Amino acid sequence: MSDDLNQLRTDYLGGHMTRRELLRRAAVIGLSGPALGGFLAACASGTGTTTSSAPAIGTTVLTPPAKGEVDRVSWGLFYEPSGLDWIYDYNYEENTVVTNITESLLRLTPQLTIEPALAASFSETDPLKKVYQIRPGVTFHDGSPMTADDVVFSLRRQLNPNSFWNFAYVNVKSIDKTGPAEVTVTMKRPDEVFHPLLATPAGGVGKASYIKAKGKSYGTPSGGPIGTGPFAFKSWAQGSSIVLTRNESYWDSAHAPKVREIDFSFIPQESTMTTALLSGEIDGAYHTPYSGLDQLRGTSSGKLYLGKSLIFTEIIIAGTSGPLADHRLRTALLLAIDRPALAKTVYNGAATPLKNTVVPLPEWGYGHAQAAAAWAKLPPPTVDLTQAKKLVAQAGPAAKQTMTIATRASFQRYINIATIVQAAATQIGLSVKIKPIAPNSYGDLFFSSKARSGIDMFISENYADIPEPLEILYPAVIPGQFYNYNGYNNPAVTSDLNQAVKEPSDPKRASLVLSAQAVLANDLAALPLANPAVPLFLGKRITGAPASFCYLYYPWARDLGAPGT
Amino acid sequence: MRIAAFITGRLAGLVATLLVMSFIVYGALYVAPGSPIDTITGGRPLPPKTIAAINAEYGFDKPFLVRYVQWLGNVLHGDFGQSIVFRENVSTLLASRIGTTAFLVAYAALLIILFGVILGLLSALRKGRADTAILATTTVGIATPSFVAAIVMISVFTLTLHWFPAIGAGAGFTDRLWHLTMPAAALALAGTAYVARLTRSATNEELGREHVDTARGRGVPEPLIIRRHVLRNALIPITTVGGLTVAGLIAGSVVVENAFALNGLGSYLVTSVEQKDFPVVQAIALLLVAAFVVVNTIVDALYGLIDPRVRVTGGDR
Repeated sequence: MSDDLNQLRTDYLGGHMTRRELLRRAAVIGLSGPALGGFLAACASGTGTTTSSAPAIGTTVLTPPAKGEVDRVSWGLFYEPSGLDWIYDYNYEENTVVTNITESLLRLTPQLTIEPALAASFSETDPLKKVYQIRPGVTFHDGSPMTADDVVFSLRRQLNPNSFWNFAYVNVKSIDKTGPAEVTVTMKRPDEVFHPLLATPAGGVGKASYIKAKGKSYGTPSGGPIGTGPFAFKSWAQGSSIVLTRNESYWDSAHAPKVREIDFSFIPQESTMTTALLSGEIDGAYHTPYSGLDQLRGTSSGKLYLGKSLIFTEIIIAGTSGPLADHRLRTALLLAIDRPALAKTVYNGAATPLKNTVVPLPEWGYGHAQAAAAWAKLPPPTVDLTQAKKLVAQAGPAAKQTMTIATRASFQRYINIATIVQAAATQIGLSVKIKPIAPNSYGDLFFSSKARSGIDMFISENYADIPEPLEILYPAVIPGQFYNYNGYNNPAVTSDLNQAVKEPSDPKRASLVLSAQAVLANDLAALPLANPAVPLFLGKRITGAPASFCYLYYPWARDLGAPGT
Repeated sequence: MRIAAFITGRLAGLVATLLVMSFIVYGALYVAPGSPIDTITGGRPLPPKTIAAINAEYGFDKPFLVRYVQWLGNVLHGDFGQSIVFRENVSTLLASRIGTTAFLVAYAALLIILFGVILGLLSALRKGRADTAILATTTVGIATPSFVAAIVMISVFTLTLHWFPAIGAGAGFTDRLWHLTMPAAALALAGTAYVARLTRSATNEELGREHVDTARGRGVPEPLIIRRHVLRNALIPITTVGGLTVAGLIAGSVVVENAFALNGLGSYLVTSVEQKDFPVVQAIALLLVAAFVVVNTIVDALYGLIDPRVRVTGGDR
């Protein structure tokens, strides 16, 4: 009976049957009336009460392991990477490609924890000295060995403010070779976010002499990158494809790549990407378009996974004045927004509602149990119009002003979210005006107060690079930091986070962060909306690539291969 | 001598057009909001220090005229600059794309001229059922935007019949032909229908003219009448419209290139405008305007071949 129910649920959610057919089949297995209502509700919320064969949205980390070799895999990217020099790689597709070529001292695992990569080990002699032992026996794609000098050169590249990862080095004083295979990073002040960030391109290692020789062309189509990763750069036909070939002498022999060549194509049009995956012209893609998820769920030509992610969607409060400066109105607005419905409609079912903005997941790289317990205590993402209206009435005249929400013009997800927010506000007697901003100037909102003038809130779909909530939290809620736009200042939060940044012990740091989180969930420095999953599609020919968000900073293609031998 | 004067005049016009156009495009792009940094970071926040460093690196903090004059100076030295987004020479970036667009546009132009004229003639000369069928088909063709045609073609010929690939431009002549058949057909659809319609009405008009009746009365054989008296005269409007349609394909290729994920100039123009990648936008715009002017010049020269009365008279057309 429960197997029947699971099958029914899978089929219904997968879009394989109509509602009418569902009712007919439900009757066959003896499900009717209230029981069916409960079943449908469970389907709608996306987290069934029954143990389903389909994992809950955004929890998958791995796909079935690859057993055999594959000659050539064709992979889809939703835009052409701007370059493959890791210091400028700060966005989805750049990182998706470069992570297989250039490795970092540490890496993000599929389970979203941090583990050693090019650094074999790490020690902290005092809070200001971080010492990395360089892994022996690692060679670059040209066969030359990776040395401590390469590591020092590579890390020092980040000290130039031009590097997009320079922010990781704000507290770094110097980077020195302190032994034949030892590199020491000296800090100006204690900073626990620095170390985990070395799992991103902030800790990337390239070949010093090669980069010097290539100069500015390093990482462009005419100056292909050289790294230590499982795949080597082969060619880049501008506008059409990037080809990587297997690194036959990859140092991590337990993960020797099974695919001989991987060919990346750039497919910006959503419908074309979906079609290419359905027809098998493209074997796989991360972050497949949300618009095509139903087709990808239903096809027999491959499998769709909804992986665990560090992506979070929130509404950023843009100014120090206006209706949203009133805590009651922020709370009222959030109570009126139907977050489960938003996750379902805007992300086509590939997201879960978010309870707290800046901490995207209850499970970080550390303090799992503590975090899960704290997460369970946060107020649920449910709609409460009565309470919301009460708060609006209490706020008085401030509630009468019209608020402006900025949205990225021609970006459907943001437009949908803005519309949902507007409708929610109307329900409780608030008024919201939508202001579309030209796509390429939307980013100005993040760093120009001029761009934010006249705007009360804007939508942001961002991600944490590492499973360390401080990376996102600290600059957003500490007074005077870059992304604290609304002058949020709660001494309790500031004190917790200032201590946390310096705290090397994981359990202690976790409890400080969680203490701040509890306050923030009430203060609402920003409004949490959703945690979108990573949609990954793998065609029938291939399997093994991790399904989680790690694909930006983990050499995922090394795990790719054929399902059979 | 007259030909030389004609070409010189045209060239001078081309240079003037390009200069004015480059200023307008640069200005428009400058005034438009946003910056390329947004593209590179995908709109993710970066600290103000890094943003300032990048702005200084690319000279985004300099005034408009300084930037334009600098760009113009470089272009006159044959240097189209570097793409801001790709950190690569613009000439390299365009070279890898120009082939796809040229092939696509030439292929579509061939389809338009071939099928447009043949269908139009069939319609006008056969009359009856053929005429009705062609009229109905061309009505649908004119009304179908190329992206709709692309989606329908992909679902029929790729997903159902598996005849043609949905993405990519292919390598080598035969492979290219195979890859670009659907895109070219999607691009050519409306143009073909339009040219067919025009050929039909132009031919019908000529068929009813006095000199045709006279020729018939004098017993001139029908094929000769069609060739010499009907077709030759009908060709003038067909050439005009055909030329304009083909020149318009260069701009129209944008949509089709996007739909079939082709690495062409059209889709790259749109992308680089969105990215505010100044040097790339300028170079593509210059190239497209030049191509447009060249196609129009060829059309003008063709008039001379078709009709001696409009043979070039010193470039004052």
